[in-house]
Amino acid sequence: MSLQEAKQYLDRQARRFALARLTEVKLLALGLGLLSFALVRLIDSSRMLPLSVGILVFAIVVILRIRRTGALRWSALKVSLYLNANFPELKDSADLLASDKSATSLEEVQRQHVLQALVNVKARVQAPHRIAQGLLLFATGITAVVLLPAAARRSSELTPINATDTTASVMLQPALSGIELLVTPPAYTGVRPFSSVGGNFKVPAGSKLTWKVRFSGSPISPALIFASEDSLSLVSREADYQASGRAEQPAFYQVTWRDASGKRYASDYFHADTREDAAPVVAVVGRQQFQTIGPGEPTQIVVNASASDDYTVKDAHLIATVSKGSGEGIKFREVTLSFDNAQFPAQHATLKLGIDLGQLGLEPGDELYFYAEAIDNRMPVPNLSRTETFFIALKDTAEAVAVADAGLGIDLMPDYFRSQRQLIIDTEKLLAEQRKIKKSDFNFRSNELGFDQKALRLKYGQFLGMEDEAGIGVVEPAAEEEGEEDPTKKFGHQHDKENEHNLVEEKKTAKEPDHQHEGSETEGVQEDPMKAFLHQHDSEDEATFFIQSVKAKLQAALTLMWDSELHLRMYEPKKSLPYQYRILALLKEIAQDNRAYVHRTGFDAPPIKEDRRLTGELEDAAGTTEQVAALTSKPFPAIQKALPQIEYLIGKQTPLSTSSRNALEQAGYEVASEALKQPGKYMRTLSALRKLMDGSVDPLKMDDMLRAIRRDLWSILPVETYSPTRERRALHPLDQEVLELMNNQRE
Amino acid sequence: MLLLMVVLAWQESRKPYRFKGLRVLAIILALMALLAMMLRPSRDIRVGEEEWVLLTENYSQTKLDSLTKANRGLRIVRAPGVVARDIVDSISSYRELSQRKQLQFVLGDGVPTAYMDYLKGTSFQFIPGSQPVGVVDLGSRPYPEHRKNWLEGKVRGIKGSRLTLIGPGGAEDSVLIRTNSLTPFELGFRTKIPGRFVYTLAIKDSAGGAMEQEVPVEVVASRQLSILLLQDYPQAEVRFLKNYLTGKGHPLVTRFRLSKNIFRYEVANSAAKLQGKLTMDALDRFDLVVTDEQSLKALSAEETTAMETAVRKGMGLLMLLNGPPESRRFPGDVLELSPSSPAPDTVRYNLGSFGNQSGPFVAMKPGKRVQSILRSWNYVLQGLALCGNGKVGFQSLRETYRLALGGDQSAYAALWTPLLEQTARRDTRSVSLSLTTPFPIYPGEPFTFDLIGPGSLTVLADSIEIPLAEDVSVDDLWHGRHWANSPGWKHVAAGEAVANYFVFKPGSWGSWRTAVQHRENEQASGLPNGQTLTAMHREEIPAWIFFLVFVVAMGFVWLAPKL
Repeated sequence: MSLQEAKQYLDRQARRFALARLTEVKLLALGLGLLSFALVRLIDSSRMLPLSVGILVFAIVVILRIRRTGALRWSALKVSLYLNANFPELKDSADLLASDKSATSLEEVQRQHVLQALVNVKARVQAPHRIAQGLLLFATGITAVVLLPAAARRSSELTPINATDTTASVMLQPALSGIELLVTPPAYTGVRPFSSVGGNFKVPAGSKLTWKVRFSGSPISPALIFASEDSLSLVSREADYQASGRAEQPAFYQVTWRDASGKRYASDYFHADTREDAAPVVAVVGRQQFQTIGPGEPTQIVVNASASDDYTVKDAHLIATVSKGSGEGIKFREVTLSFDNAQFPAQHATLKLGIDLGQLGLEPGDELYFYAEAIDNRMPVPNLSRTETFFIALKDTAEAVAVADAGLGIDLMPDYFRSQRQLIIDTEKLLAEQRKIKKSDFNFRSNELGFDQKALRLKYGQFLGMEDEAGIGVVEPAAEEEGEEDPTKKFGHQHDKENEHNLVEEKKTAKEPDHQHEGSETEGVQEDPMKAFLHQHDSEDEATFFIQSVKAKLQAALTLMWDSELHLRMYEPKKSLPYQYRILALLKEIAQDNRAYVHRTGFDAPPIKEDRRLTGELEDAAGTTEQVAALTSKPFPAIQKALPQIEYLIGKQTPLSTSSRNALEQAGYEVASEALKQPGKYMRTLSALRKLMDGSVDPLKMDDMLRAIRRDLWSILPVETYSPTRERRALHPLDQEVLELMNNQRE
Repeated sequence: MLLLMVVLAWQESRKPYRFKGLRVLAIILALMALLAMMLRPSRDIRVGEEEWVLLTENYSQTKLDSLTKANRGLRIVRAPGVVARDIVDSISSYRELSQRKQLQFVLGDGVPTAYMDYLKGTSFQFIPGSQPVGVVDLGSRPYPEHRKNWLEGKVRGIKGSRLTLIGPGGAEDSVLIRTNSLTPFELGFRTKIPGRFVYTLAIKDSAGGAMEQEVPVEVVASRQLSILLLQDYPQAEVRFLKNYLTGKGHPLVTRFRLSKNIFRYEVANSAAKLQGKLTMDALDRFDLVVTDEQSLKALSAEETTAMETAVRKGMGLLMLLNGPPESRRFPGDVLELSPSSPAPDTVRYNLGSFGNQSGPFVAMKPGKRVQSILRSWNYVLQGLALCGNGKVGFQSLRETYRLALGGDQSAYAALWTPLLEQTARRDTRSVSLSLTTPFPIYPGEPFTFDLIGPGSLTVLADSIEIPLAEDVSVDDLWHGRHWANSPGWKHVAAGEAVANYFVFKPGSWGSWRTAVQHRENEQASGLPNGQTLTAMHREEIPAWIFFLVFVVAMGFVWLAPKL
C-alpha cells in the first residue's frame, strides 16, 4: 500500500464513519420522536399536538447526538487517531499517514512500518456506531405508535371501575351478537313454522313470534322496544334471551339493554313486517255484465267462474236475485246456487254452473241479477269477496197497462194520441186490409197514421226542447199512451221500483255526485269540483229532464219517427213498420231507464219564504253558546323539536346533550311510524338517528349525516296552508305621541 | 369714496407738475389702499399643508394618478395591508384616522365599517375602486312560518351564473343571471317550522366553477289572532272563514243573531267568552272583528260607539261588503267608498304563486285614505284605512269560499291571510332591540344595536352583560356595542326582547361585504360620488400691505413736485 492509497483509505473511512454515526443518530431520533408522538396521542386525540411534539423531539435528539458524537466532523486525521486508539500495532503513528507535511527520515521509516501494519489492520477496522440500539429504539417507537392508540381505545371502551368495587375488576360492555326469530304462522295457513336470522322479517299476520337474542356480555334488562312504545322483556333462557309475541301489524323495533353501570344501549331499528291474508279472488269469466234475452231465445245460461286465494278457498257460490213485476208490485227473490263442479277447500278452483231461467221462475219482463261470492279459510273471521253484479233481462215488449186508479175507470190519456204500439197495430191492420179497401182509403188511412206518428214525435220532442214545432195543439206535457208511459207516475210517489239493493250501482260512475242534474256530462271533460255544488241552468243543451243515455235514445227514436212518418205519408206503411218496431223497442228502454232514475232522486224540500224568516215566536228562545275545540295538534311535534337541535349541531362537533338525545329519540319514533306508511323510505334515517344517539358516528362524517337526517325529517313535515299572524312592532313613546297627534289633527 | 377719488384725481391733474399721469395713478392707488384698510378684503387659499389621501384595498391607480396631478402636494398614505405601486407612507391601524383630520380622499373599497367611527367629524371624498362582483346585497329579516317566502338580493358581474338556494330539505329555488349589470333576484323557499336555520346559496358560474355561501334564515312562529265574527245569520262565506281560522287554532267567537236581543255564540279554541252587549271591555279582548254592514247596522248606538272607540284604540274591523257602506256613519266615513261605473260583477285577480283566480265582487271606488292590499286593474278588492290606532279593512270579493270548495285551500288561505293580518290589532311592544350594523358581521368585529326601553334593563349578548349608552337627545333610546367571538347564530336579549343575528365565517360573502363598505363610506363622506371636495379657505389680506401701498403712493404724490 502506498502512502497515497493509505490517505484515500482514511478519507473513505472518514465518510463511512460519518454515515454510520448519522444513521445511528437518525434511528435514535426517529425512535424517540415516534415514542413521544404515541405518548402524547394518548393524552390528546388530535393529530397536531402529537405530531408537533414528535418532530420537536426528533430535531432535538438529532442536534444533540450530532454534537455529541461528532458525526459530521470525521476526517482522515480523526480516523487515523481512532485507529491509533484501537489498534496498538499501529504504534500511535497512523496520523503520519494523514499528514501532508514532509516527513523526516525517522518519520518516513515509521510511516513505512505503519503502512505495513495498516494492511494487516484494514480488515478489522469497524466504524464506531450504535445502529443496533438505534434500530431497537426505532422499532419500539413504531410499535408504540401502532399499539398504544388501539390499547387506549380498548381501555376507554371498558366499563369504568366501580369505586365501591374492591376487586376493581374490569368488565367488557355487553353487545348484541345475534337475533334469531322463530315464526309459527296461524294453523289455518298451513305454513310450517320456520326460523329466520336477523332482526328484519316479514311473516304472515297473526304469526306467533319468538325472538332469541344473543349478547356477547351480560346485559341488564334487555327488551324489545317497538316504535309504538310497546315493549317486550327478554328473558334469559339457556344461552340467549327470549321473548314471544304475535305479529299483528307492521312495526319497527329495536333491542335495548343496560350494562352494569346502568348505561343504556340500543340496537339499530329492525323492520317487522306482516303479510295480511288477502281476500280470495273470484271472477265470472266470459260473460257480459248486461244481457238481454229476447223472445224465443234459449233461457239456459252457463256461468263460468274462477276462485283463488293465497292460502285456501273454503267455499264459493252464486247469489241470484229474481226480480218480477213492475211498479209497486215488484218482488224480489234471492237464491243461493252452488257451482256444479265445486270441490273445496282448494287454493285455485275453476267453477261452472248451468242456470235454467225458466226453472227459476223468470218470465218475459223479469230480470235476474247474480254475482259470485267466495270465502277463504281465515280464522276467526274469514275473508269474503264477490264479483260485480251481472244482469239478465228477459225482453218483453207487451207490457200490461197500468192505470193510476183502476177504480175510476177513466182513461185520462188524450184520445187523439196513439201510442207507438197502437200505431204498429193500426199499421199492421191497414196492411192486412190493403186488398179489401180502396186505394184512396188506404192512402187516407196511411196518411192519418203518418199524422199520428208526427203527433207522437212532437210529443216526445218536447222532452228534448223541441216545443217550437207546433201543429197539433199539443201543449200540455201529457203522459204517453198506455204501454209507453205509466200515468201513475204523475200521481204517486213511487218507491222500490228497481235497484233496491243497489244492484245497478255500476251504472253510476264514480265521478257522479249524488245530486246531479239529468243530462250533465261527466265523461271526457275535466272534472270541475264546483260542478257538484252548482245548478247549471243556463245551458240549453242540458235543460232537459233526461240523463245522457236516455237523451240519446230519445233522439234516436225521434229520428226513426221521422222515417216512419215519411213512409206513412208516402203511402208505404209496409216500409214504415221496421222503423216503428225499432221506435217501440227504444221507447221501452227509455221507460225502464226512467224508473232507475226515479230511484236516485232525493227529497226536495220546499223553499222557505224569506219574509217569514225570524218572525216566529221567540219568547222561550234563549241564546246558546257552543264550544268548538277545533285546534288540531301540530303534526310531528317531536320532529319539529328535533330539527332545531340538529341545526344547532351541524358544524359544532359537540357531543349530544341529554335533551338533544331525548328529542332525537322521540323524533325517531315519529320517523318509524312514517316509515311504516312508506316502507323502506326512512330506514337509513332511522339507522343514522340511532348511530347519532349512540355516538358511534365518525366525526369526519358527522356533518354529512346530520344534514341527511335534517333533509329527511324536513321532508316528513307537511306543507301547511298560510295562517294569519299577529304583527309585532315596537313603538318608542315618542312615536306613539306623534301618531296620536297625527290622528288628532286628521280628526 | 369714488367721488372723492375723482375729485382728488381731477385736482392732481390740474397741478402744473411733472409725472401727471403717475401722480393721478398714485392718488387712485392711495385711496384704494385706504378703502381696503377699511373694508379688510380676504382671499381663498388651500387649507393646510398636510392634506392626504388614504389608499384602501382595491384602489384604482389611474384615479390616484389623476388625483395627485390635480392636487399637487397631496400626501399619499396606504391603509394596513394595502400594497401600493409607489413607496408611500402607511398607517399601522385604522384607529389613527381619528387623529388625522386632514384626510381629503379615500380611494378603493373604503374604510371598514367597524372603523367608521374614527372618521366622524372628517369631511372626505370617497372614490371607490372597481365595483364588487358577485352577490352584493342579500335580504336579512325574520320570515313567518308556513309561508312561501322570498330571499331577495342583488348581483353584479356574474352573467351566466346560476344561484341555487338550498334549505334543510334540499334545493328550494334557483335563478339564472342573464346580465352583468346590477340585477335584483328573488329565490323562493317554504318555511315549515320556526327556528334559526342556515341555508346555503350555491353559485355556479358559466365556466363550471362553484361556490357555496351560508344564508341565515330566521323563521318566527305564528302569533294567534283573537277574532270576533259578527253575523245576523249564518252565511257560507263566514262559515268557511270560521272553519279556516278555527282549524288554524285562532281563538274565535262567532255571534249569530237569533232575534233582536238573542244570539247564538260559537266559541272555538278557548277564546274569550262574549255575552250580552258589545262593550269596550268585551271588544278589547279581540284583535279583529269581521262583520258586514247589515250586521253592523243592527247594533245599538251604544254598541256602535264602543266599536268605533275600540277601533280607534287599535282594534281591527273588517267589513265584508255587498256594496259601498253608508258614508255618513262609521265605518263608511273612514273608507269613503263609492259606487263604481261601470260595475262589472266578476273580477280576475292574481294571488302570486297561487295563480290567477276569478270570482264575483262588488266594484267600488276607494277613498283617498284607503291603502290597497289586493288590486285588480283599477279595482281595490281588499284594502284598509287607518282609523286612530286601529284599522278598518274591507273585502269586496264575494263567495271566496268557492276557492276552498274547489279544493284550492292554499289559495283561499293566501287570499285571506294578508287582509286579516294587516287589519288586525298589532302587538305593540315598548321594549325592542334592533341591530344597526349592516350585515355581514364577522367574528372579532364590533356591531352596534339600539334598545328602546328603560335603561334598567340588562342586555345580554351570549350571556355577557353589555354596557349601554343612552342617546344624548332621545329618552329611553340606548346604544350598545358587542363583539361576536365565533361564527354562527347569536342573540342579544333584553328582557323579552330578543334580536337574533348571524356571524359569518371570516372571508365569506366578500362581494356583499365590499358593497356594504362602499355604501357606508359614501354615506360617511357626505359627498355623492363624482363631486369634488374643494378644500379652500378664505383668509384676510394683511392690512399692512395696503398701508404700505398708501404710504408709497402718497409719498410719490408728495415727492413728485420736488423732482
